[in-house]
Amino acid sequence: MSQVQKLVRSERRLMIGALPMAIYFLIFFLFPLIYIIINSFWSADSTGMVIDRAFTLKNYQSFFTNQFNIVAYLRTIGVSFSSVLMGIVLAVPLSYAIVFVIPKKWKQLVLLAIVTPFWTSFIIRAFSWQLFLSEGGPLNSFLMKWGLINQPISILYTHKATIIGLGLFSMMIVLVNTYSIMVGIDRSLLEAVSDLGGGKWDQFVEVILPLSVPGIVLGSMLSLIICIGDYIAPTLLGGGVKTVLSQLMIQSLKSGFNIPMASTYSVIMLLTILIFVLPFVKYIKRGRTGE
Amino acid sequence: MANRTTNAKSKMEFNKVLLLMLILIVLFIIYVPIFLLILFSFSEGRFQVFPITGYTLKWYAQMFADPSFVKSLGNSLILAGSTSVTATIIGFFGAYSALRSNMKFKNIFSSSMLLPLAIPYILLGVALRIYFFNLKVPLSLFTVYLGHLTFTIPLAFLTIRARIAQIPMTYEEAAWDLGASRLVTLKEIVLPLSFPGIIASLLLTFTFAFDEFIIAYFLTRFEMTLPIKIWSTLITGFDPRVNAVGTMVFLITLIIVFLAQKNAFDQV
Repeated sequence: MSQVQKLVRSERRLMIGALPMAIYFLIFFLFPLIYIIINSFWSADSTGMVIDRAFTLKNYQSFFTNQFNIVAYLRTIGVSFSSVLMGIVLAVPLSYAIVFVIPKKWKQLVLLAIVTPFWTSFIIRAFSWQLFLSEGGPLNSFLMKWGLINQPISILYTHKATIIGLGLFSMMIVLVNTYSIMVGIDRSLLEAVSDLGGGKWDQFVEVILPLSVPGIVLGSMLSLIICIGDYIAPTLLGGGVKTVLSQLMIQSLKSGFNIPMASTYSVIMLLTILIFVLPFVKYIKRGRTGE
Repeated sequence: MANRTTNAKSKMEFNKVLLLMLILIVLFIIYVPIFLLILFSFSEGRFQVFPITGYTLKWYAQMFADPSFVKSLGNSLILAGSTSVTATIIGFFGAYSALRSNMKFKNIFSSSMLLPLAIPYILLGVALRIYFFNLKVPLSLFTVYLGHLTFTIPLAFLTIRARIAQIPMTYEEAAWDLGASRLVTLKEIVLPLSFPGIIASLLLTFTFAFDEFIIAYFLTRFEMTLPIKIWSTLITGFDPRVNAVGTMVFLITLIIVFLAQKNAFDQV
């Protein structure tokens, strides 16, 4: 038996390399998640220190019968969807512009210039948005100087500011995913559209957009997950008065101490994400296999 | 006819100008707030208003004179350093095995390993806090390290796997033909060729752990990381030193991420 054959046969033993990762995944990801799902069916007394391990739906009941919670939940969904929508609306033309309009040597630089700042601390960026959007800040003085508004508009400390912050973040994620597809589109497909008498718009609608769908969907799903779970933007930019789901989670653990209730919020967040993401997985998969 | 083509042409030019303007507006919106942050970090006045009366380095000096800032900066550097090294080592072996072994559920393995990247950080923070509380593990920087690894291992795995996938299998087979064992091949062929991926992974996971707030917020009690320190300063009231810290953190991450992306885009 040759050396190569022997090594090919040893491929099974190679699985050892994946073991640390798999074990870590089980102990520090899967078990904690399962544990909070179980916890959400337990209940705590008023101090939060004594936990009754009898099965109960009390936490879910108190979530869905409390109007304050329902409003916060719907607000989370509304803010998240608006942000993702803003992201898509900006990212798709932006991606088209980078791939098909600007000169080749500038492409990567422009992409890097847009994407890189989003890697830095979200707290710092949210804080810089506070500076930008505040009533005495440059946005208001600019708009007033040009006579576009008479009074300073208050965007900061409302969820409009949250949507701006999260919307730009979503824009970056959708852009990266859409760009990677658009850049690989076979130019002869576009020429075919031109040969048949179509213009740039026809190229976009008939070829570029349909091929980009998997990237747009994947980017939107990843953004939606981030928006639903974000705590920084609703607190620093949204003002923290009109509560969202992530803030309820923090309150239930940090100011109050109710583990089963915090678990229930978590499970509800997890289910919400699954409901919105699962129907779209097939689009993402289709894109990957290149069908 | 000639008129129609000019019309169509000028319409095309008009669309081009609109798209270029969109790029400029987006760049403007992204960079102006950051520029303000940097500008105010050198502003003499205590409040962040125009016009700026004078320039100073005192906020930077005050920041470095405050032991709690320096301590939290040190904590964050140690945390990010150890997280990135651990995640990259585990991620490298995971990526190599996932690509080269003939394990049965290769695809299921790869996609489930990426699941931690598909849930919000806050969920992981809450889940791990409750989990550690129940197992009576005291909260410290070490528990933050464990929490960050859950996210950074998949990140490292993804980055390095993309790199190893570009290395032709024939290189390794050639080494085996010459009598090299798998371990020697790994060291002499795979490791050097995937080096840019490893560097990218080290830098990206470092940045992640250095900037991450919400997981750390749940998983530590008394030992602060820099993002937690910044957060508590912002929440308790206005402090002009935040501009200085923010500028510093921003520039550090910018450099690291730029280097990482350069490595990630590099071809075999």
